[in-house]
Order: sequence, then C-alpha cells, then structure tokens
Amino acid sequence: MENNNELTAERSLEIIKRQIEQSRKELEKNAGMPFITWGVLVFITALIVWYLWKITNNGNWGMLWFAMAIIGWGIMIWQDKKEKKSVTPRTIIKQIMGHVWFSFGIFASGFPVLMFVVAPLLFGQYVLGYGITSIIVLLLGMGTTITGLVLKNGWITAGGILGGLLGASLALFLKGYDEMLVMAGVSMVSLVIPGIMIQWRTKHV
Amino acid sequence: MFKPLDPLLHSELRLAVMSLLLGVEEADFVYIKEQTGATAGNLSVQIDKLSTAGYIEVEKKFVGKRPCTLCRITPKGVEAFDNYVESLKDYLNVK
Repeated sequence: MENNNELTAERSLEIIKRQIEQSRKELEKNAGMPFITWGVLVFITALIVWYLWKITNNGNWGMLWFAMAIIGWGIMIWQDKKEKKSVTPRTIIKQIMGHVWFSFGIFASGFPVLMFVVAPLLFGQYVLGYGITSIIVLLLGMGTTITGLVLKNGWITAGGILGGLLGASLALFLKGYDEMLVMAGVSMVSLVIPGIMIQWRTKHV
Repeated sequence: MFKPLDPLLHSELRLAVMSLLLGVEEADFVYIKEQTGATAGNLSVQIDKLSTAGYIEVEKKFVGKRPCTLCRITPKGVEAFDNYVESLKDYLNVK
C-alpha cells in the first residue's frame, strides 16, 4: 500500500470500507466455536444426567454439571492461550461476547454452588429444591439473545428468545429428570445452532 | 464550506492502519503489515507518525522469545478518525 497524499474523498471511503471488511472477515473466523463447544458439552451432560437420574432415581447426579463446567473452562483457557500465541487480534465484538459469556459463566456456575453446596452447609438443607434448570435456561437464553443483537443476527436473537422463554417455562412444568431433556433441547437451540450459524456466516458472507 | 481533512489521516497507509485498529483491542505489527500489504520500513515510519500525534499507542514487548510490537488506537485517535469521517461526509454530500 502506498503512502499517497493525493487521495480523493471517494478513495478514502473505499480504503476505510475495504480495511474494515477485510479485517472483520479475518477476525471473526472461529467465533462460533465456543458456542459449539459449550453446546455439545451441555447436550452430552444433560443426556448423561437425565439417564443416570432416571435409572437410579437420584437427583445428585446433577453434580456432574460441576464436572462439565470444569472441563468447559479448561477447554476455554486452552483455546485462549492458543489464540494469544497467534498474531490475530481480538475484535471489540469478540471482547463484548467474551464479557457476556463470562458473566453468564459466573452466574450459571455460582448460583448452583450457592444453592447446592454453600446453603446446605449453612442451613443444613437445600434452600431451592427445584427451578434451578429454569433459571439457568433463562440466563442462557439471555446470553444468546445479547450475542445475536451484538452480531446483528436475527436468527441467533430469535434462538435465544425462544430457547430461553420456552425452555424456562417447560423446565418448570417437567420437574425432575425430564428437566435435563429441556436443557439438552435448549443447548441445541441457543448454543449449537447459533454457533454453526456464526461459523457459516464468517465463512460464506 | 468544507471541513478540512486531517492531513495525518489523509494518506492511504495511515488511514488503513487507523481503520484496522478501530475495530480491535490491539494489533501486532506483523498482523498490520499482512493486512495492509505495506513494507515493514514504510509501515514503521507511518506508525511512528501516528504515535507521535497521539492517535495510537505503541507497546514493545516479548511474547515468549518473540519480539512483539503492539499498536492500539487512543481516544484522541478515535476522535480524529470520527472527525475525518464527518469531513468526508461533507465532501461526498452525505447527510
């Protein structure tokens, strides 16, 4: 690229547009992978918990979610380190998405820890017996909706709203191990499908 | 009466660097070089000019054993870019 001071206004605009487009395409590569990773982890964990809970009639299998969270965070830290080694910078959009999902992670992991680990230690019993799936599904739906709005993608936004509202309502009706089936369904609608759509968009648009 | 265009931004390479830095937290020199297709020498001179004007910050560090020059746009740079685009709109008669 030349250092030409005889630029016309049209040429300046063309440079700005081309540079922003070029770097956007380059930088949004693999932005959908965290969605797919978490979606698949949630889907598999939900089905495992559902099956074990159903055959043993013991809801404590829900503790497997903590194991999933540890595996998921481990994968994220590994991917983050790999990304930092590359010269490709993080976009502002990726940064915003990172903050949104970090917040989701804090609330979705912290609330069950308080309810199922800290509260029984303090009060000797579970404070909240049911409804936790519904609350987490609502948080998940909100995270996906915000992501869809940031990426200006109507399908992802709709997936977040539908998955969050319908899933949270269904999880309240289907108490017990069937809540896990709702979680598996929501993981597809609010994580895996939006993740595949982000990947597709960055490769084809 | 047209607003004057900022002479520091009114150059192909410097404008491309600023456009690129606008959408990212920070960018490595190598990445900017690849994206703009500029030579290392020319890019280095233009980055110095933008840095001296306070439009970008330049940080030199090591990532492992690899030397790394990171550039990031400053609030002054964002404001200058915004003014430049506003002036362009005047020239192009865009409301």
